[in-house]
Amino acid sequence: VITAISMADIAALTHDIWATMAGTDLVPTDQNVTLDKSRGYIVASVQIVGDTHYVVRLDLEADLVREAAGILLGVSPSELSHEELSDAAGELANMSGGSVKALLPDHCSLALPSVVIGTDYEFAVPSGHCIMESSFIASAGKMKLSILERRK
Amino acid sequence: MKAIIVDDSTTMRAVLRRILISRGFEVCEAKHGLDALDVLSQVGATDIALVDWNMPQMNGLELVVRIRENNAYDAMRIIMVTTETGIKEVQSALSAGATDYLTKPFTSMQVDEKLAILGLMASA
Repeated sequence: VITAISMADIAALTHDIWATMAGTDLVPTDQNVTLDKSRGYIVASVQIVGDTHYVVRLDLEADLVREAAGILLGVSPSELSHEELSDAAGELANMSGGSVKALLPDHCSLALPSVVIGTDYEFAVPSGHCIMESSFIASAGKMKLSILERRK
Repeated sequence: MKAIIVDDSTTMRAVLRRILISRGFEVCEAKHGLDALDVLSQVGATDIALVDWNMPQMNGLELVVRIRENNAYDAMRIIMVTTETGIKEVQSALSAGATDYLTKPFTSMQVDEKLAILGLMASA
């Protein structure tokens, strides 16, 4: 089913979401980027539930989310609360998940997003197998978007 | 003109609030469907409701049904603002009583277009 989605689709939907809503120009890169977790690292994910179960996962440098959240919320990035940062990351994951879901031929539903913020942690999706991964770079930081298929 | 924004995301409410206030709307907000019914019972019908689909406690579709069950809210226009873009979802929302549909991500111009179609721009 997921073969219906190309890397170009992922690049286009990501650019659309970040440029339209957060005024951030995220550029796809062929390099497998390594995120700098020292200033904060955010994982925002959302599940797509249907005949097949997918997870759309965003791994984000916190500075990138701070910049986007500041624009979305209309406040200075330095004034953002932990909750606001988390909410903005969740909404970006929600829009990414919704855009991926729209490309899937099967009827499925989108769950509510989950967000983890910290500096030193590992985030795992049990039984999740990565089937697509794209890296993006912006002036404020880097992001990876992964699509995982959960297999029983 | 009065509007209610119903979304569990603080971020999305802030984005829509900024747009609507700049167009002259008086805006109230709710975090989910049940919260929206409570707010509406206090402030009365608004000219427009911008309603997210996926929310805890009561989702947007259930809220649309509940609003349409109440004659006091007959004149309210309801726009679903959501990532749900499937034909089935759109049909469900419109059948339940939503007036129109706005897909995330969106621009302020797209919000203006929806408001104009519903006749809410000129007098806003």
